[in-house]
This record gives sequence, structure tokens and C-alpha cells, in this order.
Amino acid sequence: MNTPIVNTLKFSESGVRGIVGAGLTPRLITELAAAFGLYCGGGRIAVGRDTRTTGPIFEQAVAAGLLSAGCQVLNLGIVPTPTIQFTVHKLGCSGGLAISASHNPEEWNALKFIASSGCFLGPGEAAELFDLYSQGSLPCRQENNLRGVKEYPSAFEAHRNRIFSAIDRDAVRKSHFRVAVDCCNGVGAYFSADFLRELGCEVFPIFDEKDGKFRRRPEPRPENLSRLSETVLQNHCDIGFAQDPDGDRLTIVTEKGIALAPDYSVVLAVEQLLDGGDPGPVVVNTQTSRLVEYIAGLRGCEVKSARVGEINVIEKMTECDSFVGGEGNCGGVIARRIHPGRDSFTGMSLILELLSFTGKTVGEIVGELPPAYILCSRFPASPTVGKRLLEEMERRYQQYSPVAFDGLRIDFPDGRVFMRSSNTEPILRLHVESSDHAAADALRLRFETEMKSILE
Amino acid sequence: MERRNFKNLNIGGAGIRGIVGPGLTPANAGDFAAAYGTLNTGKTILVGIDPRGSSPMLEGVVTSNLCGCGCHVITGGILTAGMMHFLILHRNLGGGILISGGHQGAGWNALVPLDESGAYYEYFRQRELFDLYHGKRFYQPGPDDIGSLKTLPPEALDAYWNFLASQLNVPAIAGAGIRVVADFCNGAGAAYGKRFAELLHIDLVGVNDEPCALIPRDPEPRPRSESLIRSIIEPLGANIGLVFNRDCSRLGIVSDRGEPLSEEMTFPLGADYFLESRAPKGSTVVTNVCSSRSLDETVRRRGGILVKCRVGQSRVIDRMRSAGAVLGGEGCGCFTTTAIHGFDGFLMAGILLESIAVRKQKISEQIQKLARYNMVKQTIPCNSPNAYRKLRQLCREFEADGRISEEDGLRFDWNDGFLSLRLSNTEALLRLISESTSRELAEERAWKVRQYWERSEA
Repeated sequence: MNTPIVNTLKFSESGVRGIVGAGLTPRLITELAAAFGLYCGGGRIAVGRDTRTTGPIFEQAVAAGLLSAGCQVLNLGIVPTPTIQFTVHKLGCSGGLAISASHNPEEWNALKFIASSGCFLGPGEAAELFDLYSQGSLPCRQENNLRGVKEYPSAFEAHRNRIFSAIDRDAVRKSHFRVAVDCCNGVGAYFSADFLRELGCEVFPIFDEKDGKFRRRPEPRPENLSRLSETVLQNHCDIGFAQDPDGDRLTIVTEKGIALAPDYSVVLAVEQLLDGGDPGPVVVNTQTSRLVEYIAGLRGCEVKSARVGEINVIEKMTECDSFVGGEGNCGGVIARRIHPGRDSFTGMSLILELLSFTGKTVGEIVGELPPAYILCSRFPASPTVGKRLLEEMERRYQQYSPVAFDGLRIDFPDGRVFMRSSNTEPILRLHVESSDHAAADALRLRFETEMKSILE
Repeated sequence: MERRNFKNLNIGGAGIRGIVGPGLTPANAGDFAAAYGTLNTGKTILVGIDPRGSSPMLEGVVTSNLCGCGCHVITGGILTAGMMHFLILHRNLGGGILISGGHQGAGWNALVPLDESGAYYEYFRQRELFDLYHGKRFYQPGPDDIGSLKTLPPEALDAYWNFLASQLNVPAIAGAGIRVVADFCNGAGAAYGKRFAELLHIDLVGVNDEPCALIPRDPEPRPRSESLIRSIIEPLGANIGLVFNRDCSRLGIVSDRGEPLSEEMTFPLGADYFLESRAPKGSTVVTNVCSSRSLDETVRRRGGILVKCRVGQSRVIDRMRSAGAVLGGEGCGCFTTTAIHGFDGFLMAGILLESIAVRKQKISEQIQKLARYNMVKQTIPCNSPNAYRKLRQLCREFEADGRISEEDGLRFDWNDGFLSLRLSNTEALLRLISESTSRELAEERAWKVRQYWERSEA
């Protein structure tokens, strides 16, 4: 039976995403790509994709749209999204397009728009692009003004070399780490094992089949990483890394097989960056664990908050002249010295560097941090319903002076609760953090119950 | 007031074609591919291109929209029309789309839909396709039913070359020591010229044989485009000059003496040999209503029956099927046998080379045996939304002295010749063909039409 056509499209600064066929069609992709080509004023546009089975089709649709706008298409093929961002900046492209729905399930796909700086379009720029798209009937260049498609298969190599040049690779190589890596059948299946071997690691890859079928839920959250934990334990690994399908998010599993919250990837990377002399302040999104404040505080460094969304963090980093940042809720490590964007490959390198410099295990490093129990839940809710719920919650918890800067954050004496409508899916996220396990559980239960009752 | 070109885009028997930019755009090409995909969802579709500047863009639009409608797509890259016709049937595919402007000049391109037998869409299927295209309601399957995308393996073409060899007397051609000058117009045929020469063991001198976006001459094989190679035929001692269009579906001939022949003579030359050597007496041949009478006489001389149909390659192929014909073709430089459901320049060239080898006669000698008429072929710019009305008014100008047929455009017949006036299906042109035993008469009739048309335009 055919899937009923329900519109799942989501236009935001994080790109345009939807379920393929149910809203997201080749025609829409071609028109968006044409609008983007026009928005960039022609020139060369780098295009890459993740391993999703619909990727090759959308790659064709994107190329058609960009060519019609007079652009030259630089086709990077299957590469991590951070590689596309890096390439756009390195080669001076007019822009870039990533065909990837990142952490969304297999049936989703998306177009993400990258400016010539290598960063995603900001909310204002994205609005301009969508205005252009909405005008419809975009002009198509005549044949004598059309350019072609050029293949560029070595993009990841250049990206990898940039990361290696920014860390002490010899120190990492000498440590001969045993590393398990869960590639989620995404771009990591093509690059991660070799990348880690270049760092002297013995690698135990899982979910590295290259057929574009995701064999676990694509969000690298602890509840999805049981197989990685087993692999770490069975092979006596020093660490386990889990990526999302387009390689920008990272989660860690300790040598004891414990899957940590994604925030720990950012916390450990921030520690290594600050110790390596990268200038602060540290910029993280509002949904990142308080542990970042602890780590930065120890080093006399300030922490600044940005709205959720990679481009919001980057813009804040640029504004504060910061080189250290991240998005804890999704395990997005940002080392601006390497390139301004979330990058799991940068994250893996920095965390291995930290292990080799300190000579400690991940478990020991985490054990030295204050305890933090981070729990997450999600509820199906449209942005409008989500907004109403947040307004109601703000009224109910007025005595705790909630922060409504981006979503709603309520700081209790025994923990922190954060609620926010997703930019990428029609869901509402609940994020609870406490230094006490029981308190975290209690807070989650309380808010889950309240949110459900409001939504009903 | 803005002067609008009514022929920037055309949707007809030869698919959707137009000037890329003002006419053919990713939006309407995408709709066309989606309409085709809706008709053929779940089937495997072959997509081939002629190496024009806009072909990569259109290939992207076509493949993504076909997959989006649940078709499984095989991209063949640069393929000639003949290869498309053959491969679809041979590989048991559900159909194909050829991205090629064929005989049209730089700036044009087209999507030509082909059915599961490799043939052009016949009239009723075309109607169904166009209704879907205009209605813009396309099948949109869920993520599990989206089609796949594959590339045609290069060895897949071996079957085509084996087929071609099976249709020709290769030992005779190979033993004749034939030298050929071939102008591929940098089109799809250019990619395969060498393989063609190897197959038939001929010495092929290639001209414009780099498959690329540069279109070095008028792609329509006519004497004016053939004249580019006429000067080198004799010095090189070549037996024949072959002039192809961009998708290798039309062929013009330059004789061994360097005479550029009218494209109208390609079919009679091929038919004369084919009917003599391969077809029983009484075989049926199909051509369109405005082909040269030279063919009528050739078919009569060889004891065949000539059936006429409206202009258009799809109509000829369709009529060949219904009439059980052994041969079909048009005066634009194309003919085919029943072995393939379309026009293949390599097959046509092979048959003509075989005629040289088997008959041991030069092309210049063979052409002498055919009836040759004086033909004036002209194209008159016609960017008018009321062109059909004007054409009908022309009846009055000629009604007194000729038999009128309105099967396709207007045709006036006299004992000494005919005059055909037809609005082009593919361009903003009135196509005029005036043929007569007397050059003066042919020219006078053409002049009369031209004068009337220009006067009414003013």
C-alpha cells in the first residue's frame, strides 16, 4: 500500500527537510537548488550527500537546479556535512549544499544551505532565500550560459589533513588506542575507520555497511548505542564513538561500555581545546549541560549561551571572537581553529588527544567531573502547539524565573529543565539535568506528565 | 507590446522540445518527466543524452523526477537514438527518455519519450502523456516506493554492435576496402565512430568527432551542412561522405565525387538497395506525404507498395507497424527496417556501405539510376499565433491548378511535381517543399508562396 501523502516539510535555517515523497519531491529540490544558485549569484557550488538511498536522486535534482541558475556544480559525492562546509571555504566556492537529513530517520532527507564562509545560512539569509524561492518560475539560463558538473572526490582527504595538522597526531598515534566506532551506516562507514587508523588506533567498526540502510536509530543518543557498548566491552576498547549519518554529531561510550549523554563529547572537547590554548569564551547553546560551565570555570573562562542551532552558535562565536564552542544536546563539537562547524571527526581527534595527553581513561576523566544526569524525552507537537505549551509552562513556573530566550529553561535548586520545539521535526523536546539521579528521574516524570496533560 | 515567441517550447510527437531558458526549463522538463514517470511507475527506464550544454541539467531533472514517481532509472550517458531504440527492447526495459535536440541548432534541447519497444510514443499514448503533463497531478509514492538510480554498464553496448553486425553483410563491407569521411557534428555518434569503423573494418576519417557541447554546423543533414566535407572526399579517395545529426538519427550523403546530395535522396538510395536485395516483391514501404517523388518511383521500380502518412518519425514507425511494412523513412534523411523501432544512423550508413560493397558500384553511379527531381526546400519564419488560418487561406491561391491534400499541412500535386506547406512541429517555421521536373516551375511556386506569406505578415 502506498504511504498516504502527508506534508512533512519543514523550512528553517537548518534547511528544508521532509519525508521523501510526502512533501519533499525532486521538483521542490530542483527549485530550491535553483533559488540557492540564484541567491549565490552563480559561481561554483559544492554539493555533497550522506548515504541515504534517496541521495543519488536528490543529487541529480540539485545539480539540475544549480546548473539552470548558471552555477558550476562541484560534486563531492558521499562526504560528511562538515567536509562540505570545509571545502566551500577552502576552495572559495560561492556556496554549498548538503543533501542530508542528518539525525532524522532514513525516510527523511533534506537540503542544507551553506554560505561562502562555510557556515550554514543564518535565519535572515535563509529567509531571503525562501523569499526568492517563493516567487516561483525562476529564470533558467540559456544553453550558452550553462556550466557543467565537476567531480571532486578528494574533499575528505583535505578536511582530514586540516584536522591532523591542528592536533598532536604523533602523541595520539603513540597511544595505540583501541577504538570502537558506530558509523550508523552513514558517511562514517566510508571514512571513520581509516581516519582512526591514521591516528594509530586499532579500530572495531560497527554499522559500517554502505547500503544507506540505517540499522540503528540515527540519533546518537545513549539509548540507541547498546551494540556499541557491547563492542567496546568485548574488544576491551579504550573508547567507543557513535556518529550520526552525516558525521556532524558525536557521542562517547566509556571503556566500561557506558554510553554517555552527547553533552560529554562537547565537555571533553572543550577541555582539550581550552588546555591547548584556544581562546574563549566558550559558546554553547542553551540546551548544553552545566558541566561546560564547570570545565570553563576551572580554567577561568567565561561561557556564553546561544540559541539552539549550529549557525546561532557560530554567529555568537564570531561576535565574541571565540574559538571554542558546541551544541551539547546533540554532541556537536565546534573547534573554530579547524573550521567553524560541528564536526564528529574533529571531536574524535580532540578527545583521543585528551586521553593521550592525560594518560587517563574516559571513565576516569568523566569521574573527575561533578555528577550530571541528563535525561531526554520527545513529544509529537506542531510548532504552534509547542509554543502554547511553553507559554503555559512559563505561567505555571513563574516563581522560578524561567528563561524564555530559546525554548524555555527552568532552573530548580536540584536540577534544570529545558523544553523546546525542534527546528527540524514537528516535535517538542524535554531535556532534564541534575547532579542527582533520583532528582533527574523525578523531574522528568513530573514534566512528562504535565506536558502530556497539556498536549491532550 | 511584448513580442512573444510562440515556438520557444513545443509539445508534440517528438516529445517536449524548446529553447533552453525561455522555453525549456527545469520546471517544465520536470513536469514532463513526472508525467512520463506517472504513466510508467515501477518500470525501468533508460535515459540517454546527446552531449549538449544543457543535457547534464536536463538529465538531472529527468532522472530525479522519474525516480520520484517510482521508476527505476538506468542512465546511459551519451547514446545515439538507435542505441536507445535497441537497448530498451533488448534489455526488456519499460521505456526510455532520450535527451537530444536531434537536428536542432545550438540552444535547443528536447526530451523524447520512448515506449517499451524502443519506439516513439504513438498518438494515443502521447495524448495520455500530455494530459498528465498539463494536469500536473503526478504519482508521488512514499519513501519505500521511490525508484532507484543505476548506470548502464559499458559492456551493455556490445549487444548493440552484435545486433548491427547481424543486420549487415559485414564480410562484404570489410572486404571492399571502403574509406569513409564521417561528420558527426560532435554529437552522440562521435562517441562511437571508432567502434563503428572497427565493426565493419572500414577506414573512417572522422570530422567533428569530439562528443561535446560545441555544435560546429547546422545539425540538420542538408547539402549546405554536407558541403563542409565535400572538398576532402576526392583528395582522400573516400567512397562516401556521411553527415549525421546530433543524435545520429538522420543521415546526409556526399558522393565519392564530392557532390552533396539532397537529404531527400538518403531514403531512395537505401530503399533501392534494400528492396532489390532483401525484400520480396510487393513489400510495403512507408514514407510521409512530403517526401520526394524520387522514392515513389524507386519503390515502383522495385515492385513495392508505397504507403504515405503524416510527417513525423513517430508516425512513420507507427504506420510501418500497422501496414506491415519492411521499410520506412522520411525525406529529412532517415530510413529504417523492421529490425529496430526507430531511426539509427549507423544502420542506415551500414546499409549504404553494403550497397557499395555488394553492388560494386560507387554512390555516384547508384544515384544516376534514381529519378532526380528539382526540389526547393525553404523555411519561412512564422512566429504567428494564427499561422494555421493563414495556411488555409493559401488554398485559394493554388486551388485552380493543383490537387489539394490536407493530410498534413497542405499539399498540391501536379503532373510535374508537388508543393508541400507545413507548419513545423518543432520550430517557429513554415516548411516549404516545392518539387518539379522543371527547376523554374519549382522555384516559381516557392516564390509565389513566399510572396503571399510575407505580404500577409506585413
